[in-house]
Amino acid sequence: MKTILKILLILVVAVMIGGTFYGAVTASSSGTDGTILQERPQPGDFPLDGEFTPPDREDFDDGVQFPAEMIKSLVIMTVVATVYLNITKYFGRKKPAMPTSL
Amino acid sequence: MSKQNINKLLLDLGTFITLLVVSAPRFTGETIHEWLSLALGGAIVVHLLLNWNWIVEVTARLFTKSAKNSRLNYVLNWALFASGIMIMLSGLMISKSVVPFFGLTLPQNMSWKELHEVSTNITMILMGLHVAQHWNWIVSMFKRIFTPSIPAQTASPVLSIQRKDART
Repeated sequence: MKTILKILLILVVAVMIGGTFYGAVTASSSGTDGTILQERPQPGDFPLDGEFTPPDREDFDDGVQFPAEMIKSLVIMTVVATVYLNITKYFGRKKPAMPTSL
Repeated sequence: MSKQNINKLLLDLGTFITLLVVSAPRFTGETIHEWLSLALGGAIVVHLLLNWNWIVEVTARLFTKSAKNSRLNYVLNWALFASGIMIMLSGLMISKSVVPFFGLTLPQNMSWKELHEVSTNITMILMGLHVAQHWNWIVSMFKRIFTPSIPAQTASPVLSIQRKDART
């Protein structure tokens, strides 16, 4: 029961944050140009014979491709973590292990 | 090493690897990317549940002097949570598998796609900081897994740091 309440609390907070983001994005989009909002493209809206691919219909299902994005993410995280650890080490601020917050 | 710490390590390791995999939709294909991202959301909820005590402790002491060391970590975790929600929300708004699967149609706005990419990059930076903040714990856990002969005296400081951290 306690766990269900915790999960509900997490979801409520997530919905509140998500709702704020949603409101901000839709307000800024409709505020600048009402024509930006449009219906989701349906199959057949665009010719898919290779002549034209709209930017929002990039085909990700061409088969397995080299995971460059995965490597990019790993590099970003590694660089940020290394810089952070070196900065804290340089300033002599030893960060304690925090197992309960991981 | 407590069973809960092992569970935490396994969950975090799985979540980290899943995050890397879902960050490459061209590698997984869009359908796997979307469903795996939803599963990642569930893993994050479990991660929060496992660390609930820390969240409650630090929230209660956030503006006291004793929480000075945990404050940056706390703010960083909130930022990570918010950016994760931004990824999920923008991903659902441009979804081509999950949302149509439930028979829903959402109005499409091109800015969601840009936001999805921006929030992904922000999350990767925050995740790097999150991992760095807990690097000592990760290293000590792996050391204890791969060197099980560590005597109890040398293993205990991690547990004492854990309790100390909950108070600071």
